[in-house]
Amino acid sequence: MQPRLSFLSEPEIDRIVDGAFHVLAEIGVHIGSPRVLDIVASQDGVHLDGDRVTMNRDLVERSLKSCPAEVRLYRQDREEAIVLAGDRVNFVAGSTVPYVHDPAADGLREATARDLVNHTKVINRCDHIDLQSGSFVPSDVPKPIVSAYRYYLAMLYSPKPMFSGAFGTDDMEVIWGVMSALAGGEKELVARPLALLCVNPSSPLGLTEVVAENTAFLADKGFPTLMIPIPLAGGSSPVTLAGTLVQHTAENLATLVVSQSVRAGSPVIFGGGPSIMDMRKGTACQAATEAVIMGAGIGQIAKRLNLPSSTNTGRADSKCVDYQAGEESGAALTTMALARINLIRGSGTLEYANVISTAKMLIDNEICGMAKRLIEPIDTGDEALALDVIVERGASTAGYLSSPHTLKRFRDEFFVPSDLIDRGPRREFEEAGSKDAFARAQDRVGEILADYTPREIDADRKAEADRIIAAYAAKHGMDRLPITEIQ
Amino acid sequence: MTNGSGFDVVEAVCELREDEVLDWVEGQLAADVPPLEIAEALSGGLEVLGQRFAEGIVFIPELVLGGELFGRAMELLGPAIEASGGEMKRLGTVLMGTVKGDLHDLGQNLVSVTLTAAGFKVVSLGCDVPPERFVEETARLKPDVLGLSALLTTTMQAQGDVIEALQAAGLRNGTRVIVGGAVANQRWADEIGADAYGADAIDGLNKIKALVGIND
Repeated sequence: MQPRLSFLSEPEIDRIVDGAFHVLAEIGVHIGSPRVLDIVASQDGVHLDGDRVTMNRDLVERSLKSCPAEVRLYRQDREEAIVLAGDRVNFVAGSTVPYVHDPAADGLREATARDLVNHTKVINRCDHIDLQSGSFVPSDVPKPIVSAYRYYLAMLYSPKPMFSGAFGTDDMEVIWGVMSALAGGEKELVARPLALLCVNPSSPLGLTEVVAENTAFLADKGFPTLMIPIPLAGGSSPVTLAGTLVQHTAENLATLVVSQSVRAGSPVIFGGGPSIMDMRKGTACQAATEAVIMGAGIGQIAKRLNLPSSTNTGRADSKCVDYQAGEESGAALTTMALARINLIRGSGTLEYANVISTAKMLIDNEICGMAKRLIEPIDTGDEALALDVIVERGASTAGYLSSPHTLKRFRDEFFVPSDLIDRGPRREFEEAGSKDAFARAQDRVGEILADYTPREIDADRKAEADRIIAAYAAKHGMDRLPITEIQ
Repeated sequence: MTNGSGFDVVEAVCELREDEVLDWVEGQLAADVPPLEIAEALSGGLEVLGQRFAEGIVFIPELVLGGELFGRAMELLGPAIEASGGEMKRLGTVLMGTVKGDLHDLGQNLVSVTLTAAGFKVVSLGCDVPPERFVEETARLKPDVLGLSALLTTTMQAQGDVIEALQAAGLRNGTRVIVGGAVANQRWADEIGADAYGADAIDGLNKIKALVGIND
């Protein structure tokens, strides 16, 4: 059997989805773009009240039917697809944080383009992380160009599919240009998406101008859109988990209706990052147990709606890479894998996803590897059941170590973590300086950066991406970007 | 304050017994108790609620509801205070709002209630507020401090736009501006020319006190 975790029964999922239909029909959503509002208003089943749109169930169900159940993403250097559908589990590095965790700088400093590049080099070496991300919001370039520059740098430095979002509507066009250049053309990009973009509906029930426009832009291109509402239970959504899931589902469905109104059949991913508000501190706790439960609920609701799923989980709230951070990311990443979320996003982050630690990214990579192992079924076929081997060896003193069966199976049967996970004898631990996992990960980051070999990239494609990003930077007063070469 | 009637208004505010508090206010007005004295008693309740919040006994929803209860009680008192020719003692007036493009007003609500509990008059413009509106209201209300909130990296730029608009309208010199929100920081405040940065509600209160020249 496939290990799988459920928190909701089928009738309970029905109650949440029906609740979302009710909310959309009763109060609907605010849409901040008059242009997109007009497009949605032209659909049957829509009622317009100022800039609020209510949608009847028929329209939402019609829109749902036109969405593909599967999204495929591609690495720049491989033929095979990364599939977001069904029970597939993929991990994506956490993204879009302003600060880098830097023990040398009292634990925190504003991130730069160099931090982003270094982090990307490390993600390249994280075998269990399937998608990279625009990890940092670099502080050494003007705000309007940040998002496009992140796509540019990340896609230069790593062939893994890039995930993040656009901050505005102008930079969406620039990101599109950069992605198309690196893919060898717009048609090629749509056929084989090398990256993914998200939109974030604002809870409660609001699509800002940027969200509405960018949803429409991506739909028009037929490019995958990851919808990520981030309701905060008790703050921007009901305090109850079920109530927050109802609102979250409504926010996703409204965004999906926008997408399908622009172009039926455009791919969307049912994502989300619901969390809870700490009622003592007012913080948006990403790693709260309830955020993990809601993440698992999202997986079940997405499956009911026949859509790929994604959650912002695995993010830690701890300020440093300590036991708390490990517990938070470990529990969340593992639970999300068991809940069969197609895209699990959050590795490497700290402090409610305001901070990234590159060393933590490496430790989280190990957790992701273990989580992928955890959800593999127990093979009970004849060879795995090993009756012959037990009969042969079970009564002898030879044991199983020298058995051909062991030799044949051990590499696949056991997950082998890297040396970051200490399983060795005490002697080796002491000889290596008695370092904990964080210290070992910091050392490893240094080794990876020292060992980096620039990857080859098509010169013409890079030149076109260079031209696009340089023109955009110049438009915003920056004649020379901090980094434009792969080195 | 039991006022001889045995009613402890401080405890009633802290326990959010709204009907009882409002009845008490009406009773006090009917008994010709000076309205400013009534208001002071109510403020005392809010202050204790704020202290209990700081001690971790009271949680945010209770603090917010306490602020709303106080607001409603003050609405009852408003006409009487005006008629008496008196004025509530306030530490200052703060105009608040979440900038254009940003629909998140949770943070500024927390700041507002914290400021109210501490004795400031707070006027909130809500969320998605365009720079022109901030300028209009600043010109009209002449607040001591203008608070600009933004949750998102995508919208923080709009905090700078408001400061520019104030400058263009010739209002910048008379208004102290504080910025806040998850993605703001001191360097950002410096970059856009704000006078202060508030990391959270309590920090915001302390910075605003400093801006209006109150030293604890």
